[in-house]
Amino acid sequence: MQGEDEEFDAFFRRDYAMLVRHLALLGYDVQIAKDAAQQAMTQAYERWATILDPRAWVRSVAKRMASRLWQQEALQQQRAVVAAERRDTMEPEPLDPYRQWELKEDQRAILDALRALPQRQQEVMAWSLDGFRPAEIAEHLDMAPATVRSHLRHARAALKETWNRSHGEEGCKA
Amino acid sequence: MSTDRPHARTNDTFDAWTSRTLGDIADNLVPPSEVEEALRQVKQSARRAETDERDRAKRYREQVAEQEFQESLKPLLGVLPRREKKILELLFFRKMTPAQVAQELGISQVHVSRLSARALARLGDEALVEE
Repeated sequence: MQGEDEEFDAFFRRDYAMLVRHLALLGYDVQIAKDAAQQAMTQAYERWATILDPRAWVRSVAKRMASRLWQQEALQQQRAVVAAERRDTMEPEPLDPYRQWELKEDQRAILDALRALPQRQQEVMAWSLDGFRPAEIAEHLDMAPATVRSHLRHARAALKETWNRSHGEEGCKA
Repeated sequence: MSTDRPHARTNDTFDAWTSRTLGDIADNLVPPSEVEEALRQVKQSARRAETDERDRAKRYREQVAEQEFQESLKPLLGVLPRREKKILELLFFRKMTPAQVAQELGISQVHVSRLSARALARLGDEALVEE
């Protein structure tokens, strides 16, 4: 148990921030990303001895958690809208994926670019940016390796376009 | 121009920019100082879940034991004298305390205990007498 604990701690320190980021890349806001990441990590800790690939495992679980939290929140938001309409015509704010989050320009640019991708491309790219190889991604997301590679190509192209915009303009004009 | 712009428009630079910015995003989301606190919280909720699980399991075991005890008692009640049967019903099915049973039947609590002990002994389950 002692050894397992140390192993888990090392894993947590290495992967926690990246796991939160993974969820942010999928479009979840900071609070949901952190809550879901912690829940997934808690489950991983509870069954540490039985998990073969912890990094992949927590990503799959955390995504499910985040999606559930998001739905709960959306439902609450909906109820608020209904309640507000009864009181007066005031519109409550829609869910903002960037709420409570100060971002530098290029951070925002990358996130915007990733979040604008079709869902499957976005997911494949998020795994790839976390260091998973196409064959591994294919296995974890239950896709054909060729599909993964094609998604990656498109996602990379979109990201590159963003990079061109933020880095290219001065270069072109100069 | 190129001196203050170290980025050339090559794949390498694009990759470098991507990985640097993504690193920044991770640090921005979870400052290194937050990691230990998050780890502590994870361990705490894991322990809490474990305790909850143990409590649930314990309650379940108790419930099952209770049900089994009642089931085993039912067919035997018929062989007891009426008053002893009544006492066991009040004690083990209607969950009254010996004091409440005593009041209900208008006898002393000592008498309730003696009668229930005798009834249980008569049912041949010595282990239950401690009730």
